[in-house]
Amino acid sequence: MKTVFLGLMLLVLLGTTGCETTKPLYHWGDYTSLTYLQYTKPDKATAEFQIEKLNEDLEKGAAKNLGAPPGLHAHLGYLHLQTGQIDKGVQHLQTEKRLFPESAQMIDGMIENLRRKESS
Amino acid sequence: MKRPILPLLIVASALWFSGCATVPPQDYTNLRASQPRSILVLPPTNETTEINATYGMMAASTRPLAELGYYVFPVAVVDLYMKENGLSVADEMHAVPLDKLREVFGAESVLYITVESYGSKYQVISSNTYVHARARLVDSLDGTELWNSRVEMVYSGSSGLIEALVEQVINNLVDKTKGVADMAAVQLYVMADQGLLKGPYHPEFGTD
Repeated sequence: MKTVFLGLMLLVLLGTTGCETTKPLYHWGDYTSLTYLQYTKPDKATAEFQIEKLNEDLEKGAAKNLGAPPGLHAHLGYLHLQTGQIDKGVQHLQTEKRLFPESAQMIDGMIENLRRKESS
Repeated sequence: MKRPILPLLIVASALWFSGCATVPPQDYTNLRASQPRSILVLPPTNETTEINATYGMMAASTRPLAELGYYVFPVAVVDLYMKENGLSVADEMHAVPLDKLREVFGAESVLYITVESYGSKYQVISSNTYVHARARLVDSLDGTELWNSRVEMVYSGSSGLIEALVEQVINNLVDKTKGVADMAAVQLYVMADQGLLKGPYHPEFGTD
């Protein structure tokens, strides 16, 4: 009887490890949902609306001691550029590059394109 | 006391693994050798008539891949870059040479997704929502295939489970099929023995 119980305990243990909730690496908030809505409900997910929501997410993440996910600052930077807020846009692009050096080539290219457009 | 534990463990593991017994585990040789730090998710090609399939699966892919520990390029920024450069549909984007993608984005690997089935079929008293997709990860340096897999996700009924997965604020703006796409993406990339290995930002990188 004891061994059966032990076996059940093992089963439960093995069964639950798969669903154990580990701490996420990032605070996601609405980032990927907004990305989706940008295509499916463009009238709702305007650049202004997304900027507001993503800034809220950055605050919420900071409060939980979780960083911004890969791509969020680049996406936010791009939205700022679209609304003509060049300085803020570039600032977020630089933050993306600082947090995730894997983005360096893309970010440098975006800023270079921007400067080229500005000077032409 | 010691002896009965082993057979019980065998039974336990047999029960545990039976769920995925039919599919042989992935061969991770190439992925281990390449160890890409970053994944460029291209907008998925779409074999269905649902126009949202591409963007549903595209947006659903970012989170599970990043939580596995990879740098995932911002999919909308990538899509817009492609469109600004004259590529309007996913099929054209999938045809861009790897060296060009590496030059523009600096991506170490590229993920090609194809959506095979997407949407709901309504029956008399219930509805089934389907998302079927396949994906292929390649090394951007030489085109070596690092991983490929397929997922068939079906969601039946209309309980609040899917809705509960979507963030509260914009809950009612996101459709049910997107929720199923999110689940499909998690299964596709994260499932043991079939999904991707942990990436460099994950604390368990190099242990699986």
